Amino acid sequence: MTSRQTKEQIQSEDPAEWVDLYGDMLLSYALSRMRDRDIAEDLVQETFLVAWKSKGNFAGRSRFSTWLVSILRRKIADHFRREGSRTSYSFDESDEWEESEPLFNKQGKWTRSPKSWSASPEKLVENREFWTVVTRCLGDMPTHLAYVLRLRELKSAKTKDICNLLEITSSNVSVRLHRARLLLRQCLEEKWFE
Amino acid sequence: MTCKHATLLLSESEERQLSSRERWGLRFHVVICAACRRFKKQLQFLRLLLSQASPKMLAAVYASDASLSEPRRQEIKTLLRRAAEGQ
Ligand SMILES: [Zn+2]
Repeated sequence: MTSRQTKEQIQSEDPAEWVDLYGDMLLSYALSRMRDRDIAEDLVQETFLVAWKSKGNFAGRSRFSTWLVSILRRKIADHFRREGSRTSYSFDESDEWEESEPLFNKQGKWTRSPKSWSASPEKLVENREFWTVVTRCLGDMPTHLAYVLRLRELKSAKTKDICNLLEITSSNVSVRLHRARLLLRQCLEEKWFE
Repeated sequence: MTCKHATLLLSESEERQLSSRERWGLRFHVVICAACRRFKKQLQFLRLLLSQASPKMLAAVYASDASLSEPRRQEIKTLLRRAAEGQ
């Protein structure tokens, strides 16, 4: 497969082959702009479908991969525009984040009790699959929560420095860290320790 | 003290000194509540683990992770083939 494909080649090709040729390249482009893996994969999927429908517009003057990226770029921009209103919402410090599946019931008791994790930290530190799951869990949670958790736990930043950096109060930082830890804990329990 | 409150204090104890009243309430709750005892252990576990994450490992994970998951790959192929057939 050459990097420069003609319009005719593209027209006659089995579009399913595009996925093997360009899928990973498009995904890494999307992931360099967002951490949420599911959304990134959604956008890649939409990109391929749009590319199929509008392949007649591919002029063959640029590389096919460049053309695909230009579609993806528009998809990403649309996504952030749609998210715009919801992003400010996610900075809200209310309890809305618990709504989908509350961790605690009305009496404040665990709805699902944490399990005991049997694993040695020494072995996990070296386990690449484990860190893949950790980064995916971080990618799945709201960005502003994952961000403080990264600073605090991965970079060992002091709470005070995080307050200064983000210009939020220390109680805001504590609440965000707490939520992030609850989410990470739950995610790891579902995706790794089960 | 509820589990919800206890978990908040367990997490906050890593950020600030709890008041003696909070400390005692928490200590008592953790003694009687197995779920929060496990949560406490998990927090310590996570803290230890995350503090030891090597930047090299994380960089490698981010780089290698940029590959479509297999179910998704198949899903897109199916959708594209269907679109091609319906032409
Ligand atoms: Zn409890």
